[in-house]
Amino acid sequence: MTQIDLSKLIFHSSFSGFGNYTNATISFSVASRVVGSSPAVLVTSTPISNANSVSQTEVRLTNLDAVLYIFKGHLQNFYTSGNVWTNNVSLADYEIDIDTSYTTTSLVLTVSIYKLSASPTVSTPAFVVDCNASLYLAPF
Amino acid sequence: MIDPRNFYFNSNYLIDKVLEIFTGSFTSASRISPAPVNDTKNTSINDLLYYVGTYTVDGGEPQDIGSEVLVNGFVFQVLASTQAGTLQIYSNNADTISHEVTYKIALISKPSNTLFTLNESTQPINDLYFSSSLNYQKIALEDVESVSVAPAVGATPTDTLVTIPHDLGYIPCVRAFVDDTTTLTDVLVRNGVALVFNIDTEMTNSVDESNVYFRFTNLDTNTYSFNLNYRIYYDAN
Repeated sequence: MTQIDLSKLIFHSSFSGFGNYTNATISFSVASRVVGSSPAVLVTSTPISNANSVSQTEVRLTNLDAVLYIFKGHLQNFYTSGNVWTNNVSLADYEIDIDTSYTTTSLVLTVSIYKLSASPTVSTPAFVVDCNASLYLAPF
Repeated sequence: MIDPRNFYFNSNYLIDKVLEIFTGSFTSASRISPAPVNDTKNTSINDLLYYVGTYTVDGGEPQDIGSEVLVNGFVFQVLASTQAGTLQIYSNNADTISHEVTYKIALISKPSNTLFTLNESTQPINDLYFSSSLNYQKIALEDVESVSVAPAVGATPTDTLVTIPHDLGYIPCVRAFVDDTTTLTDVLVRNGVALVFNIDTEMTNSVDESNVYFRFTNLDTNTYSFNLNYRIYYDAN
């Protein structure tokens, strides 16, 4: 048994970090559309090659807003009919969700659009999903 | 001048210290709210710890802990938190039937952790802990900040925006957790903060070349105070 003071060391060979670290980027377009009561589910990402096991994903919905969002697994954003982001779901006309999923060799992004407005349909603008992914190997 | 993106490992730069790894499985029952604790593991250090992990549902493809997946058209999510000496695993199962979950979670030391007892007799010796052939995530900046989140005004949510400057000049990778000194959980996953405060909180966090922005949107009429733990990493290359 060895007692180690974690606060006193930069690195100890008994502890792994997250190796195989790499970055990848991908962009894909989502066309303007009219969304009714059923959600529009758009699986438009081509797979990001990922032989690693875990990731951190950041996306920007270019042409819709300028923010690069950080999320893990699921991003949920609300917009008014003027395509303005809102934190208040009761004021939102539509919702855009982005989910990440893995296969054994890739990372895929899925975009879903839900109508929240009382109107029968809502129009959503064309936008581009720009994704920045940090990929690394979990030590398990 | 050394650019940390140009080498795989350099002892001048902090990397995450993975202290322990837990694997397990459980049956997630249908539609229990709030998300129940499905499994608990005792950890070797009596303190809060950061974590990273993956899970599968019914033997499917692995997802990050905190990710939401659709199972039979219903949302499914596995979450985690740490307390002093324990790791908890939760699940949100909106389906009408139960599902089988397997998980793997790596516990990472946080800056306040001190003494850890390394038990060489139980450490797996056939695993390679460190290899100079792998590029390691290197920590550029880390800290813990106190945050107080203002209450909603009636039905109108209130945003509290915390800006963390990093000045790296590029978009970095970020890990972030909140704790109330008793329980620690991931900020970057949906429903993560709700594990600690049992409130309906929506958050949209973001980053640019100069700053990381944590947005805490409070839909509740209470004020909440907690610690925001963050690590910002140098780019890979």
